[in-house]
Amino acid sequence: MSHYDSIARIYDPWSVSVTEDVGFYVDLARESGGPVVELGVGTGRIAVPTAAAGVRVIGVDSSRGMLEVCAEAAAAASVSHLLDLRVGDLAKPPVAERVPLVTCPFRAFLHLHTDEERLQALGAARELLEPGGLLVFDVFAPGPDDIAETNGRWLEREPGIFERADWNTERRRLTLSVRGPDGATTMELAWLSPDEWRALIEQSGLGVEAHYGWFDRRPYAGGEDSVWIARRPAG
Amino acid sequence: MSFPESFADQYDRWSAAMTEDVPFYVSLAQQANGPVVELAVGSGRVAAEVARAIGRTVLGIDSSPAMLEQARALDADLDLRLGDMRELELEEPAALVYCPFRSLLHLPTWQDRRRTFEHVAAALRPGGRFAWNAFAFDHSIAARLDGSRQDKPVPHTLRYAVGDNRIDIVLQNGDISSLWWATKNEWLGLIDVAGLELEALYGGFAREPLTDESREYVFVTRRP
Repeated sequence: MSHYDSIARIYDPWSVSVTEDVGFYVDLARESGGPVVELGVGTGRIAVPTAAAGVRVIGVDSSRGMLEVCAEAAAAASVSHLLDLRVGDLAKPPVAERVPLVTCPFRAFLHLHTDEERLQALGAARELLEPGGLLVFDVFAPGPDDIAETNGRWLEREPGIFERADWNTERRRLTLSVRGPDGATTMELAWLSPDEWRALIEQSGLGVEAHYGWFDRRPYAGGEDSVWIARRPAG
Repeated sequence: MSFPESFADQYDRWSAAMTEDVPFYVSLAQQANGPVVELAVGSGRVAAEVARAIGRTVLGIDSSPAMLEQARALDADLDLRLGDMRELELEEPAALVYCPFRSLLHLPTWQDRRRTFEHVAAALRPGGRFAWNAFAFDHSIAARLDGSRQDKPVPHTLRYAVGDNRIDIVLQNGDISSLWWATKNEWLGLIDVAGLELEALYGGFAREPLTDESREYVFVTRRP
């Protein structure tokens, strides 16, 4: 996932309009008491506010460039002592601690391209959890309208930052390109149906506690976004 | 179940092209040393042949009264019951439960399928088998089929709901029967969570191996 290195400096401006997940994940972290393992911690868009709420975060990311930006943001917010950043893989997080909450926000699991990798990542997350602990993540699957509206076109997502989505429905892959004044990259995201995610979660020995359609905790009722809350059974 | 009663009248026309499943399920039934149950028995196309071949009653369950009426008209040793496969319960544990003709794909969600598998597993005797077949999941085919009109067996249009892995068969009168395609991994997950064991996964009824070109999954599982 080193393609993130090349956009580390434009990542925050690119995702600036995404805010509704922050309160959701910060609340969960606070309720858990921490520490929290955040997979795909990136620039700390969520981890820094979590630490600011007084919860210790172990943040894992495969991009050193992103972690550098994250460390700067943590220092600026005076929460460096609560953020433990580690370079590593989603599917093999370099974490020995056992925690009450593991999160993987902002669709980072879509970087996993096969069921084998997904089962490995979910299994690894389960192993990081104390009995009764929660794994929380969000993903999307496109609807025909999303595809029709965005496919193959450069759209100015934020001032000076352009994004282009190429949807391949035969391979179920989204090739997402972003370019801005200080960087550009292309990444490939693999989506699954909600049923496939449920199957993978349950097969990983986790129970589905909730399947929301958005961060305001509305129940999933179709649509592109899914927020999953899965629990490692107690005992 | 997503199977409007209006599909019942023309059902045999939809299934006319499918014949190779009968000998497969017959051979499993011949090996079954105890009660044999067909889920989504429908018009009785498969169950009647199975009952004839084994010379014993086949218990058939379906959620559609119109389909069961067709099965009742057959001259076959069938014990037909109106019921929901998600709530399957048997007085006597079965040696074989089977579900032909991709009927499990009419269950809308993973929870529905999981409940069905758990009920089936609980209704089997130790060593009893659960077998079914379903379309092999293939997005490239689904994407190509989207919007296509077909005249046979009756005029209909196919729609593919891309994020849901769902194919809708839309008749001219607007009635829709939906099929939720399950991936191989979903089936393996269901087997796993229901506590069953995979005995074989074929790419067709001749027990050919599953390859990337296979259009059908044929599963045989066993309760340990």
